[in-house]
Amino acid sequence: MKYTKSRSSLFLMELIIVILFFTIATAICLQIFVKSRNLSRETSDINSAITICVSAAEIISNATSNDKDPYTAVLNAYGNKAENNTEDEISIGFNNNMSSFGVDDPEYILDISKADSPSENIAKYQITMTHDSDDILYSLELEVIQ
Amino acid sequence: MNTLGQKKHSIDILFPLALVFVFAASAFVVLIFAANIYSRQNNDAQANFSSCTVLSYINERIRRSDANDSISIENIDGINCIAISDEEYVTYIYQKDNNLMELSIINDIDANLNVGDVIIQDTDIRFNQYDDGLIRLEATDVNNRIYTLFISERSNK
Repeated sequence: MKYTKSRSSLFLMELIIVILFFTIATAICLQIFVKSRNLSRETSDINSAITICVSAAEIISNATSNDKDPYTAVLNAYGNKAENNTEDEISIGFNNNMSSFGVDDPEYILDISKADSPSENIAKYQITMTHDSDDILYSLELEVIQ
Repeated sequence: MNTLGQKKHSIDILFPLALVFVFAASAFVVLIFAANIYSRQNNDAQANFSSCTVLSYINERIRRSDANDSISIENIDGINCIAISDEEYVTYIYQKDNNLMELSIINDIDANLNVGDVIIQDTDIRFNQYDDGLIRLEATDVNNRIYTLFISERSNK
């Protein structure tokens, strides 16, 4: 009788350990899967953000050298719809995969603002792509000769 | 000997079997989940390659040769090509049959776009002269995500 009881409790312990091991392994696996998925999505977002910021810099550079207004040139290239448009700053909204611009309720915002320039004939711009208004994806500084 | 302890119950077999089945099913679900994630990762990597690599390649190609107004967009047989010319040769970069292709020929010869070299396969890219000195590239990846890159010609100033 004693022998049977001891055997069944051993079996129960064995089961508990196996279930615990399997649960931990599954939890770790799922965590890694979700992390890798998020990393992959973040990589795509940063790639898009870099492309858009570099494009904005190129448009500003081109407009300045052709004596055009840089902000108007950027707005023309990105659908003429700004979230915010002042003399020193413009913001353009992008959709959830940064393919469409000038959308309602944007998820990503491209901010272009004038920064303090080191000399009179140089204009300095700060170009930033943010996610959900606060998470900076990519940012670059541009200096162009006026 | 105590015969009570050795009495067999059907639950003694059914329970471990049920447990094994639950383990197997859970392992299968995790495996399916992993396969799904791996497939998406692969798809994303392919998408990044097909769009960003193409844009980077063309960008670098233009930057490397951007001197003396040598960059232009030409339409040959209905296909938009980026033409990079120097004193002797002209290089055309264009898309044909979903491939990014490149053709280098001597300046005075008519271009035959069928004989170009494939640079990157399975791409979807369009380019046009957006403004004076500004080239617009638009690449669409396998997930239909559109990447738009503007390149300002430094020599056209």
